[in-house]
Amino acid sequence: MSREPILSVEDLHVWFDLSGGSELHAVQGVSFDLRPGERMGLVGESGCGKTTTILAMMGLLPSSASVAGSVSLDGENIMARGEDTVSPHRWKDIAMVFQGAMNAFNPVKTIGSQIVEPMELHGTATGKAARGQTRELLELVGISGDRVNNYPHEFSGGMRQRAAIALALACEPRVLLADEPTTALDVMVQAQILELLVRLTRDLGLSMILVTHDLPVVAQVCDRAAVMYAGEIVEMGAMSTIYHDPRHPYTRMLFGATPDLLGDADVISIPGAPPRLDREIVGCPFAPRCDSAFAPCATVAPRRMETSPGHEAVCHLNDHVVAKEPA
Amino acid sequence: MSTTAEPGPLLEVDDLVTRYPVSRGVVGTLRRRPRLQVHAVEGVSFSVGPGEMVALVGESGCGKTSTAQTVIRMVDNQGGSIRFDGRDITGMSAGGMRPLRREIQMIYQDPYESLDPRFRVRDTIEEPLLVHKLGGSSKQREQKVLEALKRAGLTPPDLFIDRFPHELSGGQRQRVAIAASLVLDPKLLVADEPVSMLDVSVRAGILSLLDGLRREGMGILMITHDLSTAAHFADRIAVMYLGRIVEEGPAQEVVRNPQHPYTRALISVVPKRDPNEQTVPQILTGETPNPVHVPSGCRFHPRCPVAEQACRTIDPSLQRPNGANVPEHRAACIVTAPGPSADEVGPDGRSAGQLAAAALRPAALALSGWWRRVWALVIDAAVVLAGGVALGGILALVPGSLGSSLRVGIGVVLFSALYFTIAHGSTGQTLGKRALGIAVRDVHGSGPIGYPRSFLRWLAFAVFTLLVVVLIIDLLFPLWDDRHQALHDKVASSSVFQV
Repeated sequence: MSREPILSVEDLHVWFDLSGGSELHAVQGVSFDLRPGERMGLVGESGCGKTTTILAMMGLLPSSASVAGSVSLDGENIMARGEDTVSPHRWKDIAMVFQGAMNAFNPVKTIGSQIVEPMELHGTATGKAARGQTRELLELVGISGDRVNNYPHEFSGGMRQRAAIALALACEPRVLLADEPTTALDVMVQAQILELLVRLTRDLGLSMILVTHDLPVVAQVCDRAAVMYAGEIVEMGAMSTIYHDPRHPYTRMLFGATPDLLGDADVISIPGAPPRLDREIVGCPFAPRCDSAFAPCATVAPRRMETSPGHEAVCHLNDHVVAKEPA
Repeated sequence: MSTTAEPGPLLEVDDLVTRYPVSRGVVGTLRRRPRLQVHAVEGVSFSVGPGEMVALVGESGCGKTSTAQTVIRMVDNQGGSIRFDGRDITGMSAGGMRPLRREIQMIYQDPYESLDPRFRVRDTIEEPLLVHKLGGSSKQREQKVLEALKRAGLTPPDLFIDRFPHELSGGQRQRVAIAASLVLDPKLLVADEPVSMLDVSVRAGILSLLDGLRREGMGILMITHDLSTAAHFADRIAVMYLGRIVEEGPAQEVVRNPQHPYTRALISVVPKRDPNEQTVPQILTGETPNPVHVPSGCRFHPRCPVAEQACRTIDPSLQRPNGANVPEHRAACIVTAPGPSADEVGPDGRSAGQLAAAALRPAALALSGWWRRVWALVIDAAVVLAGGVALGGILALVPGSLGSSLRVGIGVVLFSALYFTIAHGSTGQTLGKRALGIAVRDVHGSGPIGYPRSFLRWLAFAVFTLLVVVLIIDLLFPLWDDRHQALHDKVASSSVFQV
């Protein structure tokens, strides 16, 4: 963990223009580091900004979005001059498995030709070499290289998801962003895909950000997790610390709302709904749903506090703890 | 846990079979391709009592939704019986079903699609009352709507009654869908993946709502792919694989003490919340096979980590496993739950061909690739020779001028021609292919292998003809030899005499 981060996101903000002149503040100051070979989970409910965050890092947001902040790859801010600085790195250094990618293949082109495409586009390989690499890639993700000329409909759902991962790996990236890669899959296929992702990060030294709403999946796959709520990372730290010693009530309540196969504890849903992001939020965004909210939560926005090395949370409960600690 | 009253179960399903025909298309029909079927549900039995929640768990394509749809008579079954509240509803007409429909209600997976976007909450919930001509005056109906909203946890109801679906969150929409079924006061609720489209934070609320209804005495059949949810909320779990229930029992028993290898694998791959408690997942290769071509014997055997030879031929029935802690725990596996198996492959209406194919299958499994095709050829050759010689023998009894060996040869040719033409025309399968097809259709998920339709078929035919010729030569040689010898003797003796 002492190594320099490969990717560093600092104070990332995304606003979407809404019809009627208002703005939706989808991502509100997200910062995190990703180290080489690390697997990080980005967890949260739908609409919390997790997908927007990684799309912003890829420079793939629509023109209705305004982005601020920096995304540094090896210390170089790739957001500095927008598309000009992002595009040389897209797919070559940072690649992505999109949500629903398995259903986004062009049905009238072979899987192989669709994997060759980014290689030729980015100039990493062409012609015969590219086709050879495609076979290797398919083998790498567990598909027989002989199926390179198959069409998407000839693949099962799990195989198409593997092919989507192969597509992301086409230009040998160092960072893989996977957006809900197992959401539409059966548990057994999900297990196969998760095993594949872990194997790829281990064998190829890839760093990965896994975006999902499924905490147990993150618990199984990731070293570190960042929990997002209302466009903010409200808690971030090593996975086991987050589970055993959550410092934000949202994290604790999210775990409490997730049934565990062999757990005995009651499963309790979180009341209410996330706040609207097209209005300014006063105080802590989670306060109306929080079971431990107290006086300052409604009026004062909590600060980000490091509760232990490498573990941070944004909650007034920690003001107390941290304020006490130095004394 | 169970508040089951003394009267019998609400829903009793016995040996249910549901199949869907696969369209062959015009070309397929003209080319007499075999009529295929999706074997969605194959002999499923279970019951749901009042105040009981039963979860049907399985991967997509295992037949759990088909079972639910058959139970509520949206889909016709091909076999078995469905009894609701003591009445057999299996063959009941649509008119006869109508009064029962208010007692069996269904909740669908996607509350974003199951609600009419132009209907206010009030209209959505009131509609079932209008359809069933219930509820009296509009005032009384409104009262019922408000009560249903309250029961579904949408309080205060006045706040929701005039909203449109787009003004509601996902969880609230699902509550509206539940309210619309509660307004009829059903006895049985069939919930098809009621929370899989909802956010994690609200899932528990919907499930607790269903749990509350169960406590009030409603029977609930829940269809889900999520074992954790089933373990937490259901009284009993039935795990389905390829149209069959492979294991069933009390929820905690099934989850903590799984006996069927499929259940064990399924449970091992469910991610746990605690990162330090992750077990080593036992990942099965491949995906659930196509229910059009169901493997022989135990349908799980091609992916099973503990399959034995016998699993390829024996279709196990649900038995009490050795390791069970409670008597209601049953699993269909001859390895972990051995017992007197009624479904063993035997003279239970199977044709001699199927039996022969089943017997030949183990040998086929030991081979791979092209050798399997060769093996198929060998089997077919053996069949053709045996049948042909028999036919030739019959031909030989007919008096005539042709030699008897020639007749046997003709018999073989005739028989092989018949065998292949009939096999291809009707089922498209010869015995050899049948022996193989099912065995080979394993993790690759491909269909049964066979000779490719045109070229190899003729090649195979040529090989058989060659075999027949060899046979004929083999049979004729001694005779030729005899005749030749006789002729030679004759010539020799005569020449001796002449010279």
